[in-house]
Amino acid sequence: MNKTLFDAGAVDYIVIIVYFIFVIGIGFLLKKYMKSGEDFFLSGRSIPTWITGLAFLSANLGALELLGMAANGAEYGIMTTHFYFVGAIPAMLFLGLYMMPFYYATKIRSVPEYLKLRYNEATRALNAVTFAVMTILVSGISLYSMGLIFKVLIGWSLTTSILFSAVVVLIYVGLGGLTSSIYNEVVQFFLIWIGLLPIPFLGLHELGGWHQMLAQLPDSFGHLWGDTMQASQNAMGISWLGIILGLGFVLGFGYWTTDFLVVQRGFAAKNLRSAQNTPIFATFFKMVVPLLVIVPGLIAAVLFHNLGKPGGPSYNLALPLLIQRYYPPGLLGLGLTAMLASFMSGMAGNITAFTSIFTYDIYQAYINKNASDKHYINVGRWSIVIGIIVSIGTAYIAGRYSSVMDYMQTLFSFFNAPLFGTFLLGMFWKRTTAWGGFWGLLCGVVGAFVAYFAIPAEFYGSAQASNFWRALIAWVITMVVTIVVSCFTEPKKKEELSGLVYCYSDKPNYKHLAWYKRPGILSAISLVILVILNIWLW
Amino acid sequence: MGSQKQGYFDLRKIIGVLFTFYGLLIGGYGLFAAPDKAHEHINLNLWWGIVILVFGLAFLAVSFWKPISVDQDE
Repeated sequence: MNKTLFDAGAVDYIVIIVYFIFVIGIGFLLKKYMKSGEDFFLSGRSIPTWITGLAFLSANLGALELLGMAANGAEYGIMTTHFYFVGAIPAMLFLGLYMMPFYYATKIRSVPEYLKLRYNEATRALNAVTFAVMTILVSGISLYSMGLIFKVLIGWSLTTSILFSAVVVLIYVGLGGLTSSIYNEVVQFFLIWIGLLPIPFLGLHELGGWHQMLAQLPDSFGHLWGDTMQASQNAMGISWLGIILGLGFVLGFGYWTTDFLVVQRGFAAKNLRSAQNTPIFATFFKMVVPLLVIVPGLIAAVLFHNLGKPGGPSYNLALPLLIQRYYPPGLLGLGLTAMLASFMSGMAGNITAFTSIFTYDIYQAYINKNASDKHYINVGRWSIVIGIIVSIGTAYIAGRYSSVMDYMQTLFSFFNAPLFGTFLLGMFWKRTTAWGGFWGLLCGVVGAFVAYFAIPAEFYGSAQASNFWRALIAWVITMVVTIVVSCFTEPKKKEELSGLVYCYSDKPNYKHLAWYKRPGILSAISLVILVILNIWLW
Repeated sequence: MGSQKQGYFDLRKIIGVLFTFYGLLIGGYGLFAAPDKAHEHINLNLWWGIVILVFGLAFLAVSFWKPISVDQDE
């Protein structure tokens, strides 16, 4: 495309430039406070709940969320909301209520470190390496999407845009570490909302309201569950069983409860209750996000008839096209800044997670065990540089897939789905043995790859359906292998498992606190709202 | 731990300053230049600029009235 989509004026550039100055400025301001490795990697465990909660969401509110969900909304309709209602919220609540206590109380610095304590060194190494590979691949997706937008919007070449974006992320993560990343995520969260909120309202206003809009779309676009008795009834090509098991149970739980990128935000909280409330608090915001990303997708599906058709613009451009349609200069700059912010947020999240895992679980564990704190911060800074350089390469891998959303879910089915099995058994079944965990995880990952190459894509209803089912296969393999190997190997002693397994750990008691501070009550409220939303959109 | 030092760095002020600036810039641009888009005939810059300004000022106000406390736990 040699013609740019937007005609950005001076005022728009001022908005964008001011944002970059702020983002980098936060990095500089925070550099002073980064005294120890704990500060750099875990933010000294001192950040208030509302900040970690928003960062928890924002780390995920990246390029995929904005472009990908709007694109999916335009392609599949309101069923895309399942990624939130089934695929995210139950898992986030489970993380807060049941898993965060293990993570936080053991004072671990990363998810692989838990695996080392619960299982053995080999399991940790396996997870650290697969996770490092995955974060870099996912970070490439953000970088690629960011580059794509710059290319379409401003007319830069893809390579220039990718390099520019990489440098900005490098500066602000490199200076301020996780705190900088978390603080920027919060600023980005508000910016994304303020910058994009007028779109659904303007769109619905132009189309004459919600029901008028749905009337102009295929029937299955307006229902969450109504057309899922059979996979062929809806555009996504998946039945209710596939949604619940594949997306909801394995992919959703696998991502939200074991992906260090999101879990890490909870680690930075100031106390256990705050860490637990981080994902629970985030569910309330998560339920509103579809308004911002999926509703614009539906609006775009009505307004732009050639969207996703041969010769027409790609589904990925649903949101940018709406910005172009409605935003005058000035607000246009803010809309563009919001999109850029979301890409950087996703990218920075991946890079900080990669840095922690690389420094603690690969470098400190296997390469240089007894160095000074200062040394590890330096290694951390260098691994940011290396991570970003490699991401530039993986950005081009992401570019080879027609839908970045499908690519992302494919990666999750390889890495997160088996890991969820390993965690589930490790935390709730005390008989699980060290080698049971290792072989289960290894077989699950290998099994997912075998399934990917052995089962032809045409076998499934859609690319998404194949990801859901493959995730389920990988998870079942992990569960079965772990249980079988555990039955034949020596279990760990009770003392070794203290605080690591549900039946040997202290249950936090919040009965004396006000209701709005208690994780259990907040989760219950969240679930009730979730059920109401599902019935309303049935 | 770093919590005492963290007190000096109030994120709410940063958010407040950023959005107050954006509100003034975009609202002001709407007021004086009033650019128009074909699809909606309202001065979007002006109205949404005011919303942003109020949002930014609210954050600033809260950060001045209730300075960050460093309570470790209740």
